Amino acid sequence: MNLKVTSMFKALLKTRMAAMGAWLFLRNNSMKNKSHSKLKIIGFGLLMLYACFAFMTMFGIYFQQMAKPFFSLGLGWLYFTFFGMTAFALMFIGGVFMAKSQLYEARDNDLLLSMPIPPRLILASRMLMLIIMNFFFELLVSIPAAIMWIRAAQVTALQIVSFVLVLLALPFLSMAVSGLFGWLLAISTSRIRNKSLMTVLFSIIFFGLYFLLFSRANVYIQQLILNGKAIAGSLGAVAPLFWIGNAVAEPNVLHLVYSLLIMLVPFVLMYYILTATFIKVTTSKRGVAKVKYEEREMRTASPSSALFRREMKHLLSSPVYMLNDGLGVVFTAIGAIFLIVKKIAVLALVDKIGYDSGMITVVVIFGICFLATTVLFTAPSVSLEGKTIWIVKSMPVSEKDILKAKLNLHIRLAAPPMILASFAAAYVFTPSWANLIIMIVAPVFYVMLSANIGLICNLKIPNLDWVNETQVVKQSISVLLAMLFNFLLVLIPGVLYFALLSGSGASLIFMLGYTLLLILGWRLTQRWIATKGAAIFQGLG
Amino acid sequence: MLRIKELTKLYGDKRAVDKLTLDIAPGEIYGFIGHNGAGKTTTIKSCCGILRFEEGEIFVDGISIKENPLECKKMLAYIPDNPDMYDFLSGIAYLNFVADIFGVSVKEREERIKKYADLFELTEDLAQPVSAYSHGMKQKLALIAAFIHTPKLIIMDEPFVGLDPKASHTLKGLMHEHCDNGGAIFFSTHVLEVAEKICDKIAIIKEGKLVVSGTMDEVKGTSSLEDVFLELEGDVNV
Repeated sequence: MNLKVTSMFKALLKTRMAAMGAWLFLRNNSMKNKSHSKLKIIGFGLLMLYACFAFMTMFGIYFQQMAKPFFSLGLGWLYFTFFGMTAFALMFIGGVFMAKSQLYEARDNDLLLSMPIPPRLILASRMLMLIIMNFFFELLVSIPAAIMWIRAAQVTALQIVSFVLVLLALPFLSMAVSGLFGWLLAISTSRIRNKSLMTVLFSIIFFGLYFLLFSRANVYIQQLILNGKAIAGSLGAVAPLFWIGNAVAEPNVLHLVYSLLIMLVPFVLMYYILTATFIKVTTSKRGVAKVKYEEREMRTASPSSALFRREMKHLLSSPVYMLNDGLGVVFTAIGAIFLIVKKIAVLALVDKIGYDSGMITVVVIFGICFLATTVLFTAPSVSLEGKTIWIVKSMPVSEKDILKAKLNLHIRLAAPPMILASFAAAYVFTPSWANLIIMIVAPVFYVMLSANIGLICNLKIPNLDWVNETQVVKQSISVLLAMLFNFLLVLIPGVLYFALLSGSGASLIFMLGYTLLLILGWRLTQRWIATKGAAIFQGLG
Repeated sequence: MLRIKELTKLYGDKRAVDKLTLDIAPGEIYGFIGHNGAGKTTTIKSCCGILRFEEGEIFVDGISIKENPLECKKMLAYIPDNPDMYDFLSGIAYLNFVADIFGVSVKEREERIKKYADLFELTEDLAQPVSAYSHGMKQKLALIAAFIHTPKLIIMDEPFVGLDPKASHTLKGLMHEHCDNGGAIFFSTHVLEVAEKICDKIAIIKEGKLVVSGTMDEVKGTSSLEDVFLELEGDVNV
């Protein structure tokens, strides 16, 4: 019997691993060319390395600020408490939506439950994969934290053992908490009609809290450095946080045992509660009340506007699409309002730095374009057709029109906040007419070019075999590549300008050249989409 | 209405369809029969302009699908074997989307949606999101969407799978009505009894190649279609 259970568990894990491998190594039907797929894997690997490096650098700076003052003041425990809290936050934010979809809304739950597999094994296999993912997130924090620790203080073998034990146990606590929140999310979103609104609301709250915490991180760190001992005393009352920190810093064995219990007991409890209720939770339908159709006067639309509305409705129905590929729209609009509200402070800052009007134009344009780098509506738009691609392919609409609707969605949503930001900048800085025109035209063409780049990336690397939209909206190589190219379109000319031309008085000519290059790039990519892109789309499905 | 001439479709080295030739005339219900993986869906998708093919030609009402796919698609409706549809739209929004693409006027779409949704007993559910539909309901929605723009040619892949008996009966009636009005239907099925009852002509395909085609009488004579099909399968296997 035990052997049977073990082999079942192994089989479940293999399936999970295969699913993860298919995603990581981009195995799908669209990749028939082996050498081509190898190249994509290498490219994807490099991108992942870049993302890891960026995260670790960010956390490295964060821990570097803390390490020396904390260890020199004898507040090593606070350092490790901060490490634990940061790692936990990253794991929780990275894992809560994954827990919701993997544990409670997985599409193969029904299939697996119909097999002679104990539900606890299904649950355990899913949890193990989530814990591994949490552990990966934790490494992004723990590696820089460990490096800064070793650089700032004397490290003993016992401390390392304690650190590793905490490192191994913390993902279990995150799993327990994200599992609980995932359950709450699944329940609350399943009972309401507008699921996407609720999910967006939850996500904005999460993001808001996250940004609030990190935007004030420097203030907290400064305060902690200045009043470390006093805070240590008051934080000591919050015993578990103190135990976790002290378990590594001292290292205190009793506190280590307490810490491990704090991390593992909630997981064990959640595992047993979920095991007992798994079938009920995954199979109960908490559907919303049915709305009866009432005949209303219908309206017609042209095929092109019907295709555009289809794209828009898809976007509005998908919180994961809106949040992952459209945050730049919100950021830019907020940036424009911020600029107007903080006009005096901004002008004072510019005056202090000593930028001339030409340099201001350059900074404004690159600033607006930088905010638009995270607008990626077109990058997953072809993949999002998924298994429904037969619908448009069997309709009397050209591939060009289908692709045009995708581009229009991107441009119509991204361009207005860019223009708003340009006018806000014009209101604050009162540029010359020539600078104003470039300030408006350059970001608009940047948006148009970035829409084309996203679409090209997705046409080149489509994935129609996804199970969950998250796979293509958040985790696909086309989205990563589009983001990278968008970023380079700002970074390279930005570096060139500030390295070679800053203060030379050639700002207007430089930006004119940049704008012309954007227009040229847009024209060339537009032609590619209309010819080769349309042909690629025709061959999909 | 539909002319398939020497159609060949390759997947790598494998010939999914091999020099297939069929002719479907206006007013005909044409059944397409074959075991799983015989090449039925590939043929059907090629006829609808969804799949590109290497050799041969397909004409819809005399127009080449290779050369003028949009004109061909204006005349046909396609219903796949597994109607994956837009989960983000409601049933009525999907029907309006299809009507907009095919340029159906307000009056006509209102009349047709009412007629077909009532026939398939889906009217009350049209406000529901497609994500809340069962397989059968999606199948019904796909059928309504097909009839909404009065195509000349309807191509269906296993249309009876997932339909309840009443809806199956309704569909059979609509298929006859469509062909009585001069349209044509080309559909694949595994339900040989249905094919035997409603088809004017049938074609049996095996490993991408046409085994037999013709009127029902020509193909089965006095035997049952099931016996003929099994016999032909056996012959090929031998």
